Amino acid sequence: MKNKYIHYIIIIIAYLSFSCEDYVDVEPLNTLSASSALNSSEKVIGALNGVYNTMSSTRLLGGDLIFVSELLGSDGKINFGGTFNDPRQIINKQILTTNSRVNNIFNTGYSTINQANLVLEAIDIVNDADRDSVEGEALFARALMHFELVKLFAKPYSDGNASSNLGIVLKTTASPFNGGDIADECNTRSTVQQVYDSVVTDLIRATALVPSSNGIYTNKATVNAVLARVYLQMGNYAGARDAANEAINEAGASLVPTYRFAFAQDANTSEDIFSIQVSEIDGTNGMNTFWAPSGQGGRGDVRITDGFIGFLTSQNRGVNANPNVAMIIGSYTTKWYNQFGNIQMVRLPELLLIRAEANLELGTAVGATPQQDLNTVRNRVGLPNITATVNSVLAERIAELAFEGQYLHDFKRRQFTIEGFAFDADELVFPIPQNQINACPDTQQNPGY
Amino acid sequence: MKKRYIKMLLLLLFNISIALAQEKNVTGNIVDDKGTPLLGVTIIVKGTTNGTQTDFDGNYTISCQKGDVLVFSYVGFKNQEKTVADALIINITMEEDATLLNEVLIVGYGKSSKVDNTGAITKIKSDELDNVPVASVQEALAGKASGVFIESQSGKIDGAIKVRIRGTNSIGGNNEPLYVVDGLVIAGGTRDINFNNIESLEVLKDAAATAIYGSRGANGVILITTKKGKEGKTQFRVDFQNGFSEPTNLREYMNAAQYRDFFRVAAVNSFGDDTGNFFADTILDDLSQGQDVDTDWQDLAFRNAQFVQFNIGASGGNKKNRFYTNLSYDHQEGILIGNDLKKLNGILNFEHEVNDRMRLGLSTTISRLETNSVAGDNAFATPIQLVAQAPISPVRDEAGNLIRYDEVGSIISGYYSAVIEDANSTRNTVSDRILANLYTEYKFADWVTVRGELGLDRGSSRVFAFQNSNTQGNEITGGFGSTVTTRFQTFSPKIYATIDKKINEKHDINLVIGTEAQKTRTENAGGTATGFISGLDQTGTGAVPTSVTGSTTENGFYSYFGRLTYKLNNKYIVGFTGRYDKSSAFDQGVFFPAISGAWKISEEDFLKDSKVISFMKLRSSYGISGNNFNGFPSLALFSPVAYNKLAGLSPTQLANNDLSWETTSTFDIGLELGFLDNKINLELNYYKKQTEDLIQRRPIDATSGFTGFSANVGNIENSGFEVTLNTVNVDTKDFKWETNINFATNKNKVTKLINGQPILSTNDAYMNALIEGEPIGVFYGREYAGVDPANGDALYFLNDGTDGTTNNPNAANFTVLGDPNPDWIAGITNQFRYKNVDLSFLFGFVQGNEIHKAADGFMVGGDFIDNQLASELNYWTPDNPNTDIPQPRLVGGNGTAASSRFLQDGSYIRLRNISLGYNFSPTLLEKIKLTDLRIFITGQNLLTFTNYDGWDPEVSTDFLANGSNIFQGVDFYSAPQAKTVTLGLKVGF
Repeated sequence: MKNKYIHYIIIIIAYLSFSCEDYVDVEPLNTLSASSALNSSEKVIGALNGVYNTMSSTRLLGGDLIFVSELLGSDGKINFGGTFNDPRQIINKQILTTNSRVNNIFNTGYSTINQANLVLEAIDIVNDADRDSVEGEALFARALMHFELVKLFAKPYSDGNASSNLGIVLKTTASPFNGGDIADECNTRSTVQQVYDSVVTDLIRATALVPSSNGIYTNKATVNAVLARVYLQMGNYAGARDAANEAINEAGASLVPTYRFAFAQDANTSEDIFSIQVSEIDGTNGMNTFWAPSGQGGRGDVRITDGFIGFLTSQNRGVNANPNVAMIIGSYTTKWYNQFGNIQMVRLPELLLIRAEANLELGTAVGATPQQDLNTVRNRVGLPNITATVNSVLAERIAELAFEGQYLHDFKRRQFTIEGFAFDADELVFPIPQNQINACPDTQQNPGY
Repeated sequence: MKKRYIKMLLLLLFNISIALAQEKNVTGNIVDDKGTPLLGVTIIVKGTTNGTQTDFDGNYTISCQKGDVLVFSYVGFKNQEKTVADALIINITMEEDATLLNEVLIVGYGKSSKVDNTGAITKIKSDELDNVPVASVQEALAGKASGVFIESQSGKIDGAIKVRIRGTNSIGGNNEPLYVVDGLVIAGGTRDINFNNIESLEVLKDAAATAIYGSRGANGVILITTKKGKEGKTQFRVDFQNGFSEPTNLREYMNAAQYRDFFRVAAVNSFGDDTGNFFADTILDDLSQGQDVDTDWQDLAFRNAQFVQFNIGASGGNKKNRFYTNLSYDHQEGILIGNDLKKLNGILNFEHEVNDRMRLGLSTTISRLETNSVAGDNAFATPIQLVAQAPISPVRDEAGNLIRYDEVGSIISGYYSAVIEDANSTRNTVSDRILANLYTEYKFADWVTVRGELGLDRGSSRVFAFQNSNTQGNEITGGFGSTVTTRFQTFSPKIYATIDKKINEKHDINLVIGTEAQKTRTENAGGTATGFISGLDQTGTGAVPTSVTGSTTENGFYSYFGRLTYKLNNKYIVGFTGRYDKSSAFDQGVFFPAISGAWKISEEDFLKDSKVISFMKLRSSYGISGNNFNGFPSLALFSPVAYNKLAGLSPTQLANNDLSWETTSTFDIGLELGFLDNKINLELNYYKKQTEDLIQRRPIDATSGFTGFSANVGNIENSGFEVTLNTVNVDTKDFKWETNINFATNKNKVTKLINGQPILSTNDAYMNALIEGEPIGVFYGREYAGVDPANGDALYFLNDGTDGTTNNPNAANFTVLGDPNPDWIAGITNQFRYKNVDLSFLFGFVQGNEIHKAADGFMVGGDFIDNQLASELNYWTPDNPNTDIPQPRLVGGNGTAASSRFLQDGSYIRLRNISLGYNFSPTLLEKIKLTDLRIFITGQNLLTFTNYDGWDPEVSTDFLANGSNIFQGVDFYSAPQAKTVTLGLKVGF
């Protein structure tokens, strides 16, 4: 009898002592540890989709890159009536180094770049059929993020001192996975010129690698469209013209007959060159949040001023007798009315206007005459033909691309003042975020902060 | 009556004849000071092994001789000695041991006694927790234990409750104590415990007491022991309580007429007569919707809340089997609309003696909680935000429909409201839980016992939410629904041996040695959908499934632990404790040691015979315990993501192979004193805790693609002084008065941060910060300088080294403004009993903390359309230049920026609990065949004394405080606490 109980206790002791390790032998089930994350072609391609996902977040192409450009370049076009402080600082050009929106763009931008670098460093694992495209798309993402960041966090290329002005940190290698290995290391900022050179190099390499047709993902037209934007910022009109022309030819796109319906759609339209994909189950339309009124899924914080509504209406893109096609309802724009709609990054009309502007500057007619390109865009909204001049093309850009994040950068490259600030004013450049200064105290802050 | 005397007389006569040197039988009846018969009192003839116990009715018989000394002893009562004379009947009234010094203390993996214990432990007994009309044991505990700060976030019935034992130890980790129920460690969720079933609750505070819990002990440990059955007649107990709750306090806002005038003044001040009046006309018209009303929106946030509680239980057993069982049902309505809590709780504790050496038992609790919650404090949909609505706004339009003010307005839109949310949404959580602990004990010898336990904590919950298409943001999608079910299971076996041996009457050795393991698995699954047909709200009935969740997480650890206590001559005690923990969260295992000692000075010859000092013990301890982390904080991880409806991977975390637990080393010194036969007990304690290796996100160059990684950096320090004084002021047959006072200070200081860098709020509407040398969460911001009498501008100190001021809030430098942590806390309990009536009341003190009224910026200055505090009517005008209320300016932000203007002393004294009861006398009860009948009336939070002019000084807004140790002491539309009155009945038979 007595022995039986002792057995019982011994069994418990045995159970505990022989299986201790089982209790701590626990693997993550909802995540992959780094050692097993990039060890197959499928996973590296997955990591590339991860690059798109980060790039499409509301902090970047899914909202803020457009939103903050419009706030900084508001120029009397919009008012911000929301309770959030960060956007208010930006529209007032009184940006604190602690501004969290600025911080998030910086961090998420570099997160995308690091992910792209991870893909590039694992490119050999990718199967033959996909390898070129994966490499090209990763290069494209890396270039695009550097381009977006250098436009916001450094003086414009157009100020003539690109070789001496501080740009941003140029990051072309992936970071190691152990925090301790990079805890005490800080990268230094390259010049604006170096950043642009690297962006151009990456994009040119990417054009040769990506396919002409790639679903909603990056294709030759996408890369060329961004290359055209880059050259335009650099004042390289020949490069911009040729890249835009190439993009137009590759894209096979056509204008949506009704301007209103080129926006807030569930799927890509016929004029989309590249769009961020948003649906009920995936992605968030960050523009809808601030620009669409309550009742259209948003907060209605951004209202269009009467003055700018007047201009848009005169350009047949504002208030319309037919409210179903109006781009302005009340003081809101319908461009972001669809809570689950895609967010366009580049549309065909922009490429036509780039080609027109560059042809005008060069006195050429590559692809089409400036007249043809400009009036193609005008005729779609029912405006009559006019003579193409640089100014008429720029005016067309203001109307056609309103609220799409281009105004600020167009004014900077054209050296126009914005709300009385010179095109290269300190106030029109974001500060390096305070968190980054704290982590790397030697980082040079932008002037004026 | 007559008969009894005759019988006694006969007995007496008979006994005289056989007197002298003859064995005789002494009988008697033993009762407590209330006259209740005591079962199981031990009676021993001194110096012999001859003894007996009382029966159910308190009667005993013992054979002894004249001149023998009988010793009567009973747990919790003073020993009594009586010399046997001629009388054959010795009736005894046992006196309760006023001192509690002989009390058994439950400690980690064992028992100790108050006299011999070397650690800092506070014990709370069942009668202090019984029938307190609150929703959780922590709320019932508030003010009762020294050094234990308890704060309900707000008057939301399901709001979190903060418990801090001797201050805050961690910045990024957990600060809540470890809860152990009958030896079973439970993760949070103490609402599943019905505190009417608690026999005792021990709060372990210093390292001597907590180091045996190793990596989980740093925040203190709360040991809960539930009631067990006792040998004897089966006792039944029924309790019923019914009452109501209302808010402790309301704030005063403008009425419709005041609002209209004030709004116009603010508009004209900002935009001049023409434009200002135009704005005012338009906006006031929009907001009044063509009706002339004066709506008290604050009143609409609250309701008269009902409280119902019902308990039924039985306990009893025989020599071999004992049981305790209880079933309870609670329905507590919150004071806020749409907020309530239902609890169903059952307990069965069973114990079986297999033989003299072995016993086994099972403790089980099952419970179901059902909560209806309201939105977070920062949502327009939360009830308290109704105060922002204009008093000129009618709730309903003329057709009787609720008005959506966020869809009204030609210049600016109004606000969405909780009235609409309440009518069109559901937030419901149902959770089930089983706590079970199967144990067996085997006595190898009188001094060696081995105990094995298999513990199970298993639960599931379903969080269900639905907002129909009348709610904000869901108009187009046709409503939004969400259901997430979670289930978890923790399995924890342990085994330990206890050796308890006295050698040569001089040396007492107590050794506990054991091992324990634990594994937790949590699984959840759920989804969200949009597109609902009216009348259907289950998530699966939605047309468009929008997201799906499903995950599994596991955590585990194993440990070895031991404690050696050695006592010499019953005077000198020394203790060693150690625990080794290896967890799935970290690569390395860690050893947590502690050493402690005590000197029972009152056992020394020079004090032994003192008439004044009846007990004196000096004790001290030093040791290390840790703070637990779960998950995989040290691994580099990739998370699954989706883009374009395809799967992807993103790196989300960097590795840190060196990462380990946060460790807290505690020094404690205490003096325990008993005076006048222990009618007065005083306990003094000083402690200093140093927490090192705080796990924080160490920031790195963000251009690496990561902003930081988890690393052991940062230190925090807590030190304080604790006093506990228990006195029996009067103790007569009819009247007894006892007082318990506890007082504790705590000074918290952040002593090391990464690179010495302060961490400020990223949102400058909130001012809590982390600054080296300052307490955690210190308020750091603009210093308000009052109103410029010349123009009504709000002024701020520049704090640039001059005493200059500015009207531009952005030009003012930030400075340290206040501390959200109290300087000291205290509780005073008085208990009176006069014959059958008893009265007890507890005042709780929280002193020296500041509160940031973060939402008040919206209630002042006429900045927007929000209704304003009535105190704003004393605003600056050229005719009223000397005021502290700046000139109101529509969208002018005059004085509305976060600043010390909205910081206020949050000290308060609160009548936490008062209870008046009547106990029917035993003679009456005997007639109606009851053992216990009590009627009582209880009040919770009935009185509050404070200078705080917000809703309630016991506050930490949920949307900031949940998940942050830094954002404490912020009041942001947080509901006031409930004050509750209940009438109750307790019946035993």
